[in-house]
Amino acid sequence: MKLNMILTVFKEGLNNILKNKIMSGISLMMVLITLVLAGLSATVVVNLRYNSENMKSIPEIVAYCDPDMQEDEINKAYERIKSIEGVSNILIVTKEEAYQKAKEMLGNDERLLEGFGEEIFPVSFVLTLEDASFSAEISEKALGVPGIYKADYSQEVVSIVTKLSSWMKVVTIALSLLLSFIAVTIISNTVKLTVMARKNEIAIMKYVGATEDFIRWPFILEGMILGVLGAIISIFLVLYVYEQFLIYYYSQGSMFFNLFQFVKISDISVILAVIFTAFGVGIGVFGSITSMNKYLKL
Amino acid sequence: MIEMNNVTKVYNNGAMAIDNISLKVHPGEFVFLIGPSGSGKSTMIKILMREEKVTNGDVFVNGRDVSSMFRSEIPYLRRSMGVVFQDFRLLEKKTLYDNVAFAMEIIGAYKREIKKRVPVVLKMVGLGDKKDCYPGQLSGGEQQRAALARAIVNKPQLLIADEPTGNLDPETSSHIMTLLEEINAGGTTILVATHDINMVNKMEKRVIELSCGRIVRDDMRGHYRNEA
Repeated sequence: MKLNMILTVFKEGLNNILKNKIMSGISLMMVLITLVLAGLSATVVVNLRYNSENMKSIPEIVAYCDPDMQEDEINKAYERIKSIEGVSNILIVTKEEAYQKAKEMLGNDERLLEGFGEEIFPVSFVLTLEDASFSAEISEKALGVPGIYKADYSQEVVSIVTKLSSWMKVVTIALSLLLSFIAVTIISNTVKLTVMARKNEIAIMKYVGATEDFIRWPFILEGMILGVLGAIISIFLVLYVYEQFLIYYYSQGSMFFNLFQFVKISDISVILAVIFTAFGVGIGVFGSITSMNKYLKL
Repeated sequence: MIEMNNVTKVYNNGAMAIDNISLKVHPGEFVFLIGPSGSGKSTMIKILMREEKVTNGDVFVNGRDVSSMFRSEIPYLRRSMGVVFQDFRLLEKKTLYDNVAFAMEIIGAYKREIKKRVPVVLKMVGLGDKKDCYPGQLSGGEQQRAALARAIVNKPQLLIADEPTGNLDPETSSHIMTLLEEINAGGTTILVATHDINMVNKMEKRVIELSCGRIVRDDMRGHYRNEA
């Protein structure tokens, strides 16, 4: 196709959108809703996956002593745990340190600890492992030490996060498919209306020798432009919501602050830009093509 | 220019629209296609434009085998011909200039070419001073002249007119026919399907009469009725 024909096709595609403002607006809104909802759930999935990967690599177990344990019993437990094969380092967190840490984590909500002293916190051991894949076995062994009533390792959290992530992935895909179907139907109807409104024009184009591509492309472009516009606006919306959430999250000094890390906006924006644009263009083009074949036979 | 060999067209509902027709129209000829409604005139035009495919036989237009051409070749066949309809088929939201320019734009003509050619053609059909008018602001005769301008702007070798004077008064019809004659004088082959007895009788051109899908008469200087 010659350059001047491409320009004409672009002009016609834009004209289609402007002439059919209401339906174009509805189509755009549908693409927006689809992409914003899909984008927000995708953001959750990306973060869950990121954290499960992160946590998998933390070779750490926290073993808690019974709060009533005496110092010599604690020392014995310390020695026994230290001797477990695969433990490369062991650190004691005293009652006082645990109390201070809890106060720090609570931040403004420190008053929740009013009336309580350090005695309510157990002494704990932070075990560094040589290999994170032995977390479960070492945790079992630590639990076998007298006085140790609980041994947490990040792998437990990992499995929860992984399960959650899988579910969210299914929800995201189902939601995206459903909303995409609705968006495609609406775009398809918008383009169908444009095609019907321009039936005479199309007939004349055919009589004077316009090729099928020349007739089709303005309508494909119409869908494509709606898709891309929807994608661009929804990228900004999703990133804005994500940014506001991060600001809120970090300003709250959340209990999970050290446990759960969020993917940076700059990292997520690239993924979103690529996926949204492809998705938006896909919805737009597919919506246009499905509505045209019936009407544009030469 | 046009060659039809043993052409038959049967529609899906079983109706026989064209029944074993053979004819030749040479370059530069002016031919009237006459006959009552349902005689096969419109089907013949549709076959020539490849809007309909023949059931049997061969059709050649401007050297192209219309009966067996691929879908992708149809636009190029149509670029070699201009078409005028009874109901003008102008785009209401475009000015006369834009209506005519549109026919050039869609075949990829350059802007400067369009700017040069469109005013010439509009002047030729007597609408040079109305290029900025919209179809709704024009009389039927003017609209048909605009449709003619659009049909000839790409310099077609063949011009097909389907009842071009059907909606016009006798005086205006006469102007349109004069224009068609002028276009024909420039070398363009003209095929006019019509019911306009006066025009056919006045112009004394070749007349092909159809009835029930068959050619019942082909006179080189004919009249609407063969009483002359």
